[in-house]
Amino acid sequence: MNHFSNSNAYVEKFALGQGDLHFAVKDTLDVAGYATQAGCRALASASPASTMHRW
Amino acid sequence: MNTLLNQHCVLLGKTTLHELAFGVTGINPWSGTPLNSQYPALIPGGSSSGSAAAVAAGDVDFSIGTDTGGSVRLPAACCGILGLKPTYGLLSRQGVMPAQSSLDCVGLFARKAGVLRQVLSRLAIQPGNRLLTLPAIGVISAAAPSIDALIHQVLEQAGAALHPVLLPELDEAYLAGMTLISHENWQAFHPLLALDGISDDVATRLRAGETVSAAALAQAERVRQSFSARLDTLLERTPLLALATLPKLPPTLGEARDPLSMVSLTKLVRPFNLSGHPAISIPIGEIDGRPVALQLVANKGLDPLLVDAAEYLLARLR
Repeated sequence: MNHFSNSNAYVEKFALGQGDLHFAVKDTLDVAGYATQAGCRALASASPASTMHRW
Repeated sequence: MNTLLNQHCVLLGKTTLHELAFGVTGINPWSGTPLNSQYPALIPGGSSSGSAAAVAAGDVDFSIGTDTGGSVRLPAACCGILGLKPTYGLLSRQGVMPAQSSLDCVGLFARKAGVLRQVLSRLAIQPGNRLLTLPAIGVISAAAPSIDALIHQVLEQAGAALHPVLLPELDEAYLAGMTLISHENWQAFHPLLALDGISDDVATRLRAGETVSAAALAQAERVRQSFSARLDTLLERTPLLALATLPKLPPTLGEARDPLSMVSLTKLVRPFNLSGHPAISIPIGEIDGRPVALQLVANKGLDPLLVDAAEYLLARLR
């Protein structure tokens, strides 16, 4: 399921991991290597997160 | 997230949201307003707008959002998909913005209940058994009459034993939830007000949190205790409570231009952030071409029951 619709839902697209279920995550959860900007221009220059959100 | 990546899940991206997750329309000129693919004239809902829209559009099998005052269940209802707010504390908030919250839960969106079951099981949350019948349900009429009527009809057709329940405490629980989120968001985000780049609407609502008094916080905590105890008592009688996710039909993008008037859309979802009970929003039909969603609430820790009940209901709606 790697084709994207015109949902305009994303701030970043990439592919991490391998498997049978594809998912996306709100930009308030840290993904290592990507800045968490929370939809806010005041966080436009935030540094990339160093660690992943943990369960 | 690492758990999911190690459990055969592929992360395809980060999704847009209502600015600072502090708003319910999902309209965001800076990071993008997602398309509500089934209902293009309507708001996607927020705050987890992009995560809901990505699932509704079929981009991904499931997505992750956060729900502090309805931010998973509300966009799920607007986009016509499932949205689960788990029991408070069930899923870790380590690495979630804001770092501290007494209300916020990491939650899940999917089109199919079976996918939610798979995801919970990959997160080591033991799934329930498939239901052969629905358990008894306490039904709370709290939305527009046409919405409550549709909910009643769907539950009746599914063969559930329905028990009318009065829960006037929803109103004070909603207000207590508003008091706490106002205070907690001020604490989390007020340093950002010194920077350029917060929209006027969000800045105004953040500043309102500065003046929440200690007495108001203490009162909100008292309501949290009493409302949570009231729900526990009701759930001893029926394992599930049912009410609408939204008190009215979701607005169009045009109708939603006044963001302050939209906050009341969280009237029926925010109380369960206050209490910490798990709740799921289930799409059950349409009125006037707009989606209607049912919310089910269960005892704390019985999240799998919500997924099983959603699966049972969806199978009977088709």
